[in-house]
Amino acid sequence: MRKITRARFAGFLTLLVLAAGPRSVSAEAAATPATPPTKAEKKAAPAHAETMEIAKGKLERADEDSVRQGLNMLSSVGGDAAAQLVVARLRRGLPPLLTEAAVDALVLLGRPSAAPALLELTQHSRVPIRKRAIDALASLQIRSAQSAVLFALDDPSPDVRMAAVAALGSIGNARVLPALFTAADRHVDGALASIGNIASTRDLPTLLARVQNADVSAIEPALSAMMGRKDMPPLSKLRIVHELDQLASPSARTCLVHWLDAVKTTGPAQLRKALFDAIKRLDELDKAAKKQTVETTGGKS
Amino acid sequence: MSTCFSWRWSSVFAITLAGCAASSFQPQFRPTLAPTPEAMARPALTPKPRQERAVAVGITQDPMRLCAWDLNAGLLWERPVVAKSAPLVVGSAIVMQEAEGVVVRDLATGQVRTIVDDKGHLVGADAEDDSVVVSVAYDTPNPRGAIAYIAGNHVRWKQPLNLPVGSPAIANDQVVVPWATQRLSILAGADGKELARFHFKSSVLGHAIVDRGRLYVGQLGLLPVTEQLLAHPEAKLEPYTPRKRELAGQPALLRDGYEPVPEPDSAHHRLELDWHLAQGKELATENDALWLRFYRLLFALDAREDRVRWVRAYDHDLVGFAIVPGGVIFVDDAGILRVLDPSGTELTNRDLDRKLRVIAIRPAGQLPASVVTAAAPTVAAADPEKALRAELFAAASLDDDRLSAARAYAIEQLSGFNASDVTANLLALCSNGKSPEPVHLAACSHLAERDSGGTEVIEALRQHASFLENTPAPPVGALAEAAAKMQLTKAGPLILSQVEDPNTPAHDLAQAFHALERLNMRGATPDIERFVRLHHAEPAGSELAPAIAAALHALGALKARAQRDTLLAVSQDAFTVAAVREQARQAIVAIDAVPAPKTESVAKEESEEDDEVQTDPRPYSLTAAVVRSALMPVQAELSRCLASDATHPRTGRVSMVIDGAGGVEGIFVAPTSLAPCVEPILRRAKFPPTRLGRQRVTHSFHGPNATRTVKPKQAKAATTKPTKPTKPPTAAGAGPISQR
Repeated sequence: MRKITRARFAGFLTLLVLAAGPRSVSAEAAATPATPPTKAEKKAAPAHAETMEIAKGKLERADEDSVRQGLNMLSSVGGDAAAQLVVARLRRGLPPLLTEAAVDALVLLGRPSAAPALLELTQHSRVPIRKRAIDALASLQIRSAQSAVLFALDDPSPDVRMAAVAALGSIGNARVLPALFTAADRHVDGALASIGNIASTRDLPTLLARVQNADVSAIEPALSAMMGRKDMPPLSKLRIVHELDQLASPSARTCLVHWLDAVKTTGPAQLRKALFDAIKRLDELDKAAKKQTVETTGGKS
Repeated sequence: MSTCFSWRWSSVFAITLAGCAASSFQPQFRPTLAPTPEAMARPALTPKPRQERAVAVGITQDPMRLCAWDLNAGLLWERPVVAKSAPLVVGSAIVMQEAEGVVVRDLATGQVRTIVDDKGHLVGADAEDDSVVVSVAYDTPNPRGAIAYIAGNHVRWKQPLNLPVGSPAIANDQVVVPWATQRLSILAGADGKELARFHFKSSVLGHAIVDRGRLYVGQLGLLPVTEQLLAHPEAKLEPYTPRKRELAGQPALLRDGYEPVPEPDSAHHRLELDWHLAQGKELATENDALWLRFYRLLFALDAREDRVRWVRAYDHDLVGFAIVPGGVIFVDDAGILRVLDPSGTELTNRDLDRKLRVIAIRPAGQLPASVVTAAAPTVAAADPEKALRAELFAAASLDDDRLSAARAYAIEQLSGFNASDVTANLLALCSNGKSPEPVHLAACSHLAERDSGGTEVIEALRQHASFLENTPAPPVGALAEAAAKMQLTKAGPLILSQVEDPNTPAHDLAQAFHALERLNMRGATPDIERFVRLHHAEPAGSELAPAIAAALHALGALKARAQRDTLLAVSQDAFTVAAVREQARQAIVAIDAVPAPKTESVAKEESEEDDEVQTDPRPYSLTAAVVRSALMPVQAELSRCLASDATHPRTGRVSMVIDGAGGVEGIFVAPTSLAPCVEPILRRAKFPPTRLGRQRVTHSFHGPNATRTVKPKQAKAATTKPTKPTKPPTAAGAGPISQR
């Protein structure tokens, strides 16, 4: 929660920086909040400084274990200075496994100032590093990275593409939806769930256009993600229920039942009622259809 | 039943006679003093003209049958057979390895005349009238082979050899036998007595051939046999051959004269080099051409130079071939007989109505009569070279893995043409990832060596692989090398963009860096340095090693002084393998040793980049003018981003994906520290909708310090005549724009 708040604050600062015109340091790095040290932090400062020095020395060592220890120490120390040390070491180049460890350390440190280094790594030649970098950008909530992450949807590796759709579902906005829809059409795993994380009711027709023969199972991950979102207005969720009610298919009923299960105790009463009514109506329709079948076949079946 | 008895009795008779025949091929041969051996062989040197019927004898597919056709009439007969070799049509007989042994059949009826041998393998045969000579090879060391003489329906004599025996000939009742690779013996037709023996110490003899009144011997070529030749067989002799060359499948000029005739289904019958000596005083090749059969492809090759005249591709494998003056006759395995003139024009075709495994065609020295009367005048192609290019490309594109070598050969021949459409053809072949390795390698290696078709190369470099669009990656390595060879400076940014694309395979990266070096792309050094920085600590044996080496070499060759610190760090990094550290040291030496380049050349290069606008010719896509006008309002702001960045880069580069509606989807900025500044600016740019859909646009922009910092004179001038510091750069300062 604290991380997200900081990221939003960073975004606000970015806007301020851009409004003021370009500066000599990158806006993302400048956006790192300079929180005043607490009393405990002030007390621990000399110890931290010593740890930082030791960690810095370990990062410069020529054996993997020492570098790993240095990264771990910096992760535990935290703070922007530690992040900058990791970034500096990362940018000088490390063996693949240590590069991954450094990315993990940056995620633990949670500093948006690592964004440029991570963006560089999204074009690394090794698949695991590209994937980790994208995961890290998402984890750090670097919203400005969504444009760079969009490139990763064309990556030759399915792992990287999956990481990209997941990241876009986390940091993307409505602008990335066309690309995510294309990714979903190209069967990239997780694309529909990411669409559900971003889409609004405006996008519902586009989503429902992919339904064939009233079978909603193809878009179920997107719908379920939308229904599970806390930032989705209840009216929007009611519209989704209404749309599925209109489809009146077994797969639609299955979705509605799952959603009702999920909100049975905690969800808004209005939504619960809508779900219950829709399921009831579908059951009645089904019963009527069965009765009609019996009459037409003379009870033979 | 009577036939069966007759050939059995013949065999018994033959064996009896064989015991009575004079013993030839002894280790020691004592020639007679008079007449001389060459005089003894004189009758064989002047074979009498042969009156032979124009026929084709083939073995059908299931059920296996032996069929004979008169080329001027039609089917003569058809008999069930268990064939173990292709048929040899000689004189009035057919000689073939069958289940029972080496069998001689009558050409007119297909009836068995005799079984020559039931243990050996048929090697070769020849006939004169009703006399047939057959050479046989055994699996035993003693004897290794035998020569049999069949007169009518019986074996007159049989001479065993303890050394390999080649393919014989018969002329004027003398049997000419090449054996032991360098020896030639003349045997009497009457009793098989060895009349003369010649040792060709500097030649290989596998075949004796009688053709239109002349006797030839040879294996790697053909020697006309004369008394003079026989008088000095030890002399160094150069047999006649058409022009030698590397060919698909490496077929021999002549079948190995000591090897058994291949089985009916053997690939030997589908992959052969056919040629025939022309009649005349001078030795020459018939129609001045030789013919490479490769399953269903037929190449007509010039006999005197390494050149393809034309190529034809058929639906079925060609399983029989014959050459006559003024044309060729061949049959495919579907039973279609075709006659072509030397220019490749089809004169006629006929359906033999049988599916064939193999067929022996003996045209008796002339085209079928029906062809002679029906032959139409040949119409020359308007542009024969263009037609040949199209034929070669079509052959190279055939989707048949058996044809890999022939397709690669077609590509090699195609690459000999300098036309730009050939570059496009090679590009298409190189881009086809489904091609077999030899085809792919041939296409890409020849594409890399092109020095024409720059437009095609640039256009192809604009393409990027896209999973979403389902477009494949272009062959970046070959294209980059071609661009470097053609010195296409426009290609530089496009190559860089490909280097950054994860879809570019590791093995293409080295070629790309080499190309950037050869193009003297000094502006690319920050990007090359970034690659080195990120990848230099790759473990030993990494597939990126060649690319890292090439990148380091490029930095040295491009005198990347600004990247010297990185190189120094790499050279001292303990995580870097020793070879890479050494390469980094060499790059530093190169930077330090070579004086700084002249400022004019830098200015020229950069001005070239400035003026350059990559134009996508497709009308439905974003044109360069549109992209330029879209980015025009933000050029000044982009330039300011460079000036305000902590690292003060001289140039920045953005890759953008623009969707069909003109919206900017993805943006990647290099250096990445510029991203927060550049991206919001680019988001404001308005691109019009296109029919093409998603496009990738690469755009370079220069800061105010891009050109002036490296020009001391201008810098000095700037101090004396300062310009407005806040003046935004003009649109002309924008870098190259490329899109797909």
